[in-house]
Amino acid sequence: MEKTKVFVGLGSCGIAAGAQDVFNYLDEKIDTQVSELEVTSCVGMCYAEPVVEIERGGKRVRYGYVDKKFADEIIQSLEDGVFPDKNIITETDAGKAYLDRQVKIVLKNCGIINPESIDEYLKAGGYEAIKKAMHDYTPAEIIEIVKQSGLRGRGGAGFLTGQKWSFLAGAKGDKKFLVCNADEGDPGAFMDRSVLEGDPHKVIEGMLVASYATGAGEGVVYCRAEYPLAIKRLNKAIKDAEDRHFLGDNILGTDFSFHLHVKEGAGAFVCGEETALMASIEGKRGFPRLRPPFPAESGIQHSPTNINNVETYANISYIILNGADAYNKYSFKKSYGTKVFALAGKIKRGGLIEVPMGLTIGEIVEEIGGGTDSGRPVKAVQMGGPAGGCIPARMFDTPIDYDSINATGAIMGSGGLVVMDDKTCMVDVARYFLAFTQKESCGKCTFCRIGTKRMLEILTRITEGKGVPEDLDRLEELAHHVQKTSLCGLGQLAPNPVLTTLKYFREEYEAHIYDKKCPAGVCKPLITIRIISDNCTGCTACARVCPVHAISGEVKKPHTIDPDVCTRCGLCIETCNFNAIEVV
Amino acid sequence: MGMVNVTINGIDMQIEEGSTILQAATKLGFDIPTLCHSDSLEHFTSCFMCAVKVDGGRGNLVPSCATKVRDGMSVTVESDEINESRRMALNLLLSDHCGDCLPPCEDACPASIDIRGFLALVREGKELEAAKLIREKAPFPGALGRICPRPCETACRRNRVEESVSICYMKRYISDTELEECGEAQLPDCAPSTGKRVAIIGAGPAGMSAAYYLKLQGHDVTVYEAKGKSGGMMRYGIPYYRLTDQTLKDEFDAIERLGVTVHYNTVVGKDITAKKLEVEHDALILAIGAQGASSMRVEGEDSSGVYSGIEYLGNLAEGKTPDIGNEVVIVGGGNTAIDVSRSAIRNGAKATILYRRTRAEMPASSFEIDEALEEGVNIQFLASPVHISSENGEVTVSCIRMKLGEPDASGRRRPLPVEGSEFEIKATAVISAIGQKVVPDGIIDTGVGLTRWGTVQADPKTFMTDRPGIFACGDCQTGADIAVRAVGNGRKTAYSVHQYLSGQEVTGEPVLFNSTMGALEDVSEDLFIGIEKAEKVKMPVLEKTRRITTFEEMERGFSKEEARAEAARCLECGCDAAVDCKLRTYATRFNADQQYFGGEIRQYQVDYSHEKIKMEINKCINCGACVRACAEIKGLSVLSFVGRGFTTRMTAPFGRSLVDTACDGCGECVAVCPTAGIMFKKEYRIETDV
Amino acid sequence: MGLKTIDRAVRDEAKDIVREIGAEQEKVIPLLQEIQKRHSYLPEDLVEAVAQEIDVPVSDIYGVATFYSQFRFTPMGKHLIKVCKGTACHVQGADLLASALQEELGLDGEGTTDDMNFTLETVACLGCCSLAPVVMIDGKVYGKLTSAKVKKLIKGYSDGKN
Repeated sequence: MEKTKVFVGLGSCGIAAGAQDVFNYLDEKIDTQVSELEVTSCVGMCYAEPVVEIERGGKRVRYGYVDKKFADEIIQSLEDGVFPDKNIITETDAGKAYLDRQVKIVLKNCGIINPESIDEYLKAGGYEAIKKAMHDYTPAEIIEIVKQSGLRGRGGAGFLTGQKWSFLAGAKGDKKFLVCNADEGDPGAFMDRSVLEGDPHKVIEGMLVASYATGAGEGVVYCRAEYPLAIKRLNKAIKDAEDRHFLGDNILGTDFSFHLHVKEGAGAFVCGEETALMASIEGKRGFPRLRPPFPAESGIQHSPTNINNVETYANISYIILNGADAYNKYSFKKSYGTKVFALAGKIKRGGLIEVPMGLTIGEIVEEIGGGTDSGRPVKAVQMGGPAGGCIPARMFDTPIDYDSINATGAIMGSGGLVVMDDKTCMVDVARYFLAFTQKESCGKCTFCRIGTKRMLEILTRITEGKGVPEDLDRLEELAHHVQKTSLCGLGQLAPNPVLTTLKYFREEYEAHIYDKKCPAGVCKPLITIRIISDNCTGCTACARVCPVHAISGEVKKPHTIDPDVCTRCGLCIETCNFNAIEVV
Repeated sequence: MGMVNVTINGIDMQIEEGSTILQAATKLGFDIPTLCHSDSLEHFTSCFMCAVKVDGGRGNLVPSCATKVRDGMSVTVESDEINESRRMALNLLLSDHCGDCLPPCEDACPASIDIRGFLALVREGKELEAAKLIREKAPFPGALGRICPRPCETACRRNRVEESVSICYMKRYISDTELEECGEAQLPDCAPSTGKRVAIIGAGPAGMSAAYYLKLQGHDVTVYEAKGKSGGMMRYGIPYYRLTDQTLKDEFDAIERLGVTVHYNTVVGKDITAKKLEVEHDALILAIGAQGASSMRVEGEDSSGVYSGIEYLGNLAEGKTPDIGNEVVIVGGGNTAIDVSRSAIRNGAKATILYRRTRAEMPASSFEIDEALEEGVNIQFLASPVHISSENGEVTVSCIRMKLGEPDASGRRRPLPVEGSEFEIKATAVISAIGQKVVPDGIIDTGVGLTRWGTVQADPKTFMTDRPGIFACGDCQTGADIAVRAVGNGRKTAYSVHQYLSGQEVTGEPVLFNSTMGALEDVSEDLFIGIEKAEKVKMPVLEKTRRITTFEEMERGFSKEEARAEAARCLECGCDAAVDCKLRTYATRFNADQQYFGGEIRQYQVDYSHEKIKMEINKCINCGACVRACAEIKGLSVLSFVGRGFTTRMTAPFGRSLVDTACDGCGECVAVCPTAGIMFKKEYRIETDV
Repeated sequence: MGLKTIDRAVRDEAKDIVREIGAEQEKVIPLLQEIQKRHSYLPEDLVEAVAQEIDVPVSDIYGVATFYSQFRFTPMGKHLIKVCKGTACHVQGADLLASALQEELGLDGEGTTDDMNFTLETVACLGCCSLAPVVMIDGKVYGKLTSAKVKKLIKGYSDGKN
C-alpha cells in the first residue's frame, strides 16, 4: 500500500513559528509503516505557519496553525486513514483569496518539493530547461528568447535580463563570471531567502542556462550570512548537482563546464550594489565604484561579469521550457511575467506571494493580504525597502509594473511590501530608513556619508518635537542633492523614503513640527500614555511591568500614570488585557 | 589612441580617447575643484567636488575626475546647479571638519591682527618684526595695546586651561620696545605716488587707519579734523590714565610723518563743505564718529549740573578740569560710564553709577568694572533715574529700583520698574553715559543715505556708501563701537578705496573662509591634554592711592622677561595648513557655510606619536588620498578606511598609533592630503626647510 | 617603528586557518569568518598573523573587518541575541523588544553582559518578516514576540533551560 505523505514546511519562518518542533514531534510519533514524513520549505502562507500537508491517493491537503495538539489529531487521522477536517487553509475563503490571484512560476516548487532532494526537483521537471537549452538552442538563441520574454532584473533596477546577458556574451575575455546576487538586504524582504530555501536547484538551473548562453565558466552565489538555512540548502544542492553532472566539467557529457560556489556575505547592505558586491567577492571593503566600466566589461578580477538576482535566475527555466510567449502572456505595459512579493507589516495574511504584473497594490493588500491584522485602516505600503518609498492608500489602484511604481516615487525594488496602518508614523518610518541607510553607507562619498547623516539628524529632531519649519525645506533640498550627486544606488535612492513621505504625508511632518504632535501616536516625546479609568479593572498588571514605576493605584481600582515619570515605552499597553491604556 | 570630439560648456574640442572630463575641461582652462583627486593616484570619486553634468543624461551629476569622454559627448562643467552642488558638498564636508583655520583670537579680532604670529616673534625676541607684523593690520599697536576691550582674549583657548594669554598688553609691550629701541614707530615705505587724491573727514582711529593704508598705496591723503588733535574718541573719549597723550602723539603723528596731511580745527559743514571735498578729490571717506550723546529720556535731564559723558571726557582730554563737585552720579553701564566714574574719582569726587540691570548684563569690560570698584566707584545695580531736578548747585535724582523680566530682542533680560521702590540721590553733578549717536549734519550734503539707526549707510564689506566714491567707516558707519573695529574697518575701507581708485571692481578686502572648532566652551577637553598650567602675567599698575589722585598712566607695562614668559603661554591654535588648504580655498571660492547643517561632528583626535608625521583625524575629509598614496605609491598600506557609515575614518589598524606601524615618514600621504588631516610636524618641517 | 611580535602558537593557528581556507586576497572574508567561528571574535594577534601569512597588509584586513557588521573585536557572550530591526519588525514594535532586552540584560545598547552570558546585537533583517517582531538567539528565530515573552525567553536561557 502507498504510504501517506506528511510534509512539514521547514523554511526559516516556519521553523521560527515552531515547525521544527512539530516536525520533531511527528517524527517521533508517526507510524512509519503507514506514513512517511517529508521536509519541504515555505509555501508562502507564512501567516498560517506552521504548515503541514498530507498527501494520500493523489489528494494533497494543506493545514495551518499546527501545534502539538493539532499534531496529535493529525497522527490520529493518519492512523485512521482519514484527512483531518479542521485547520485546512486552502479551501477556505481566506485561503482562496490568498491563493487565487497568484501565478506561481518562481515559487512553483516552494513548499511542494523537498528542497534538499535533487530527485524531487528532477521529478518536478528540474534540469529539463538546461537540457532543452543545450539541445535545441544556440547560446545566441537563448539570449534572444530571454530578451523576447521581456524579463527584467528582479533585484530592483529592472534592467532587461536578456540584454545584460548579451553584453557578457559579447565581452572579450578567457574567463567570465556569473554572479547570483542573493545579498537580499532590504529589511522587510525575504523572497530570495524563501526561493533559495525552497527551491535552490531552480536558481542553479537558471544560472546554468545563463552560463551556457554567455560563456561564463565560473559562478558565484553571493548570499547574506543571515540566511544560514538558505546557504546550507544551496550548498547541498550544488553538491548534488555536481554529483549528477549538472555542474562542474563536461556537463551532461558535453564540453560545457560551469563551476559554481557560494560566497557568504558578512553583513553589508551596500554589497547588494553590483560593483560593491564584486569588491566584496574579491575580499575587499564593499566600496561601490564608478560605472563605466560596467561589470560586463570589467568585473570580478577585471574579467567580464554578469550579475542577476535570485528571482531573475529562478524565472529562466520556465521561460526556456515554455517559451517567451508563454511568459509574457503575463504582462502589463512594459513589464512582463510575475513578481514575487514579501507581504509583511500590519497585514492580516502576510507571506510570500507571486502575482502577475498589472495586479494593483490594492488587490494585493486588500484581497490577497486581507487588509490589516488589526482591522484598522491601511495607510500606506512601503515598497522597495530603504531605496523605495511609501505609497498612500489613496493610490492603491497603482498597478504592479516597473514604470507605474517608479512614477509614484517608490521603486519596484526586490519585492518587500510592508503594510502600514494609521498607527504607523510616516516621519518615524522615514527616520527608520534613513537610520538604516546611514549605518549602511560605505562611508566613501560626501553626499551619502554626511548628507544622509544630516537628513537623519533633521528627521530625528522632528520626531523628538524639536523640528523647526525650515527643516522641511532643508530636508528636501538635501534629499535632492544626495539623489543627484551620489555614486551608487544606495546614495541615489536613499532619499526616496523621505521624499515620498514628504510628498504624500506632509501634513504628518507638519503636525510634528507645528503642533508638536505625532498623529499616529508613535514618536515618544510627542505622546502621552494614559489609563482610561472606565476600562481599567485595577488588575495591576501594568503597574507590575512598568520599568520606571510610573503607574500607581489600588487593586481593583482604576490606576493612573504619572506622565513625568513615564518613559512612553508602551510595555503597559502591550500588557493590558482590557484596552484600558491609550496613547494621546 | 584616437581623438574624440567633445563639447564642454558649449566649446568644441578634440582630445585623446580615454581622457577624463576633468582633463578635457582643464585643457580648456576650466578650473574644476577637486579634493580626492590627485594626478599621482588612481581615481577614487569620493568628494564629488568635481561633479559635472553630462548633457542628455539622467540628470544626475558625475565625477569628472573619473568619467571618460566619449565621442560626441557634451558636458556642462560650470553652471549655477553645479556650483550649488559643490557648495553643498563643502557645507557637508565642513559640517564634519573639526578644526580652526585661524586661531580663535585672530578670528575674534575685528582688525584681524596676526596674534599668533606676533606672540611667536616676541618669544624669539624679535619685537621690531612683531611691530611690523601688527602694522600690517593696525597702525596703532601702542594705543590698542592699552585700551582694547580684547575680544581676542575672550576667545583665547587658553581660557580653558587657566586664563587667556595677555594678548592686548603684548601689543603695548611691542610698541614700547620699538619706541625704546628706535625712538619712533618704524613704518614701511610708501608706494610711488598714484596722483590720486583722497579726503578723509575725521582723524580718529578709523579715518587715520584708512589714511595710513591709502598713503602706503601711494595715494595723496588729506584729513579734515574738527578738533585740535588727532585720535578721535581714543583721545576725547578715553581718559589719559588709560591712554596717554604721548602714546597718541607717537602713533598718530607717525601717520602724518608718512606724508598724510591733517587739517585740524576744521569743521566740515562749517569751515568747508563735504560736497566741496567730494568734488575736489577722487574719493571721500566719512569717518566722523558718533559724537552726540544719547538722551536718557528722563524728565529734567537738561537741568543744570547734568552733563554727558563724552562732554566730560572731552573736556578732560583738552586739559580742562570740569567742575563736577564732590558727589557725581553716572548713569549707564558701558565702558564710558566706567571711564567717567574713574575720572571723577581722580577729580576728587565720589562716584556712583546707576545701572538698570545687574552686573552680568553690564556691557563694560569685566576687568574695568573690577578696577573701578577697586578704586572706590559705587555701582547701584537695578536702579534707574526717573526724574532729575537741580537747585542751588544740588542735583536731585529720583530713582526707581528695577527687576529683570523676560529677555528682550538683544537677548538680555528686560529691566522692569518695581512699583513703590522710588528713592532719591543727591549729587553735585549727573553724567549720562548711556550711548552715543552719529551727528551727520556736516556730511548730509554729500547725499549719502542714513540707516534707521542714524548711521551712514554703507556696504558692510566694501564700506562704500550708496554714492560711488564716497565711503564710510568707523563709528559713523557701525554706530558707537570699540576702537579696534574702527581701525580694522579703516583698513578695509582703504582697500576698497584703492580698488576704486585703480579702476577695479570694488569688492572689499577678501575674506577667507574660516573653519572653527566651535565656541570656547564647546571645544573638546582633549585639546588641552598635556598642557601645563602657567599663570597669566599680571600687568604692574600704579599703587592705588597714586592711581586715584592723578591722571598718570596707571598700567606700567611688561618687562622683557614678563613679555616672553607670557608669549610662551600661547597655544598656537589655528591650522598649519591654512595657507595651502584646498578645502579652505574652495570653501572661500564657493562661499560655503560650515553652520548650514550643524549636527554631530567628529571629535578632536590627533596622533602625535610619529616623529615626523602628525595625523589630525578631526580634520580629515575621508577622501582617502593618504590611504591610496601609502598603498599605491609607497606600497606600505599603513592606513586604511576603518568602519562604515558616517563614522568611517582613515586610521592605522586596531586603533594603533602611527608610531606602531611601518610608517617611515616619507610624506607621500602629506603631499596628497587636500587639507590638514595628515601633515609633517612643524618642528620636522622647519628642520627640513633648513 | 614598533611592529608587533606574535606568539608562536598564534602563528601556528594562523597557518592552520590559511591552509584550510586559502591564501588569496579573495579569501579575506572567509578567513575572517573562520577566525570568528573559532574565537567568537577577531583577536588582534591572530588577524595580524593571518595577514602576514597571506601577505596582505593588516590595515587592509582590518579595514575589511570593520566594514562588515558580522565581525566583532571583543569576545562574545555565551548566547548571541540578535534583535531584528527589519521594516516589518520596526512597525510591529522591535524597539520595544530591544529596550526590554537591554533592561533585562542590564545593557546600554548593544554589547555583552558582564557575566559574559549574553551578547546583544541588532541585525538589519532576518527575513522572517511575517512573524515580526522577531529575535534570533543562538541561530534560532523566535517570532511574534512581546516584551514579556522575550524576557521570559531570556530567563530560560540564563537558567540553561533553552
